[in-house]
Amino acid sequence: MGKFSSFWHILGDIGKWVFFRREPKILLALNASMYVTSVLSIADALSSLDSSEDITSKREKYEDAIELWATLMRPVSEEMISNILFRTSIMGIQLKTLLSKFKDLKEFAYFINLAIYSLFGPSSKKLVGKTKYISATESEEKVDTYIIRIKSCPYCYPTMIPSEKLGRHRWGKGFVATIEILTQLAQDFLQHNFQVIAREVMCFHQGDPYGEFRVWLYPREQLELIEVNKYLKLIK
Amino acid sequence: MSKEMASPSSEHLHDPNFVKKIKDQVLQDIEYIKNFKSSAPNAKPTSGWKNEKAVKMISQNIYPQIYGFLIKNFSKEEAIERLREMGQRSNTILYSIYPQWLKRRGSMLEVLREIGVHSRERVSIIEQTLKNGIIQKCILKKYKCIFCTEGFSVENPSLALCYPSVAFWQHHYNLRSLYLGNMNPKLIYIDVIKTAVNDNDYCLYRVEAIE
Repeated sequence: MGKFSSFWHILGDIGKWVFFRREPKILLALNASMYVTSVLSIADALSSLDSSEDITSKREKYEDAIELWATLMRPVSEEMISNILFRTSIMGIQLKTLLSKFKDLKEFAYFINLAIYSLFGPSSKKLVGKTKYISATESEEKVDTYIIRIKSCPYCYPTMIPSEKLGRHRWGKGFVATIEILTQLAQDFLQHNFQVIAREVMCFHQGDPYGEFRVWLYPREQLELIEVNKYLKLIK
Repeated sequence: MSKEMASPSSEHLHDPNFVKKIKDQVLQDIEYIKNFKSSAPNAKPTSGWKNEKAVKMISQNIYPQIYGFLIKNFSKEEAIERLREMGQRSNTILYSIYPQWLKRRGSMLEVLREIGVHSRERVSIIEQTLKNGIIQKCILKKYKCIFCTEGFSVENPSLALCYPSVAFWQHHYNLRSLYLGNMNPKLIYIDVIKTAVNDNDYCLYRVEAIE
């Protein structure tokens, strides 16, 4: 780490702390219970709206519920994250000025952790490990990739829905979608021509010993590479 | 959104069937909390996350979106029922994370104020009616509602955005009360009088003892 980047890292560390301190906060478990509730409420509503005579298809709309949840939340999440990224200033320095210093893809891994800290504060250290950057040449999927290890997850524990009822979805859809939106907005701002796709490839809810998010940056002129990503065939 | 809601009649609140329905739901949820088992085999209990917080803005958009979906697809009565159910369910899930909370003793106002601490809502109690020292009715005035956000427009302005919230507050007290068994009043019902229009506005809830 050069002197220049270490200056921005220090500034980022102070900034994320100030941001979290000054924003209104709620109990993380309440946030988790709201997530579980919203998926269950959508699933119930979808079952009631299903006009099919087939009782099996009327029941347990969890996979559809997660899909709809993600569709409903995407625009508002984009607005929320873009407000944070582009309209927030901390100690007189705009966050987008800080972001522009993380144009280098390897350096951007630090920015992902900074953003997670801004949302979850000191507990983000319990939640996620340090984001790892894998260059396109070294990545299995042949594109620049970020790997985020989930050490502990407040969203998995309160659910009572068995993972096999989620179909191709994973329970952490809400969390991973936030990371995907954040990375997409930031990369667009940095004028990198990427299509960002993120998936939860390992999950406590599935019985894995830890969770793992993978964030792939597909160059828009090479979107055909998406076809060979084995995770995207399995996980929505 | 957010005008005064039509003042609901409170006659039905003392209908034995209405009270029984609420009581049965509370008892059923107490059983759920006591027997809760996570479906995530390797997830550590979130109760280990004692006072961990998240910024409020990540939660504020969740319920308004579901609200929009429900009022678009269901009749007014059914939408209200589903919105109230959301509030109750969130509270039951929260207690299943922290089952030890059921054992916490306190007066009705102390129990209600706890929620404001968790959700970072500011609440004050106005216009109390007492009978033998026990609150029969009161009005909650609440700032910084987690469910009402500035700039969220809804298609049906006659429906209060904070129906999940009133049910959440109501269920929080009722679960505790029936679990402990010696609280007064035993059961309460909360309805919306007014929903906040912006971040500086406030919500008003009517609280009534029903048993």
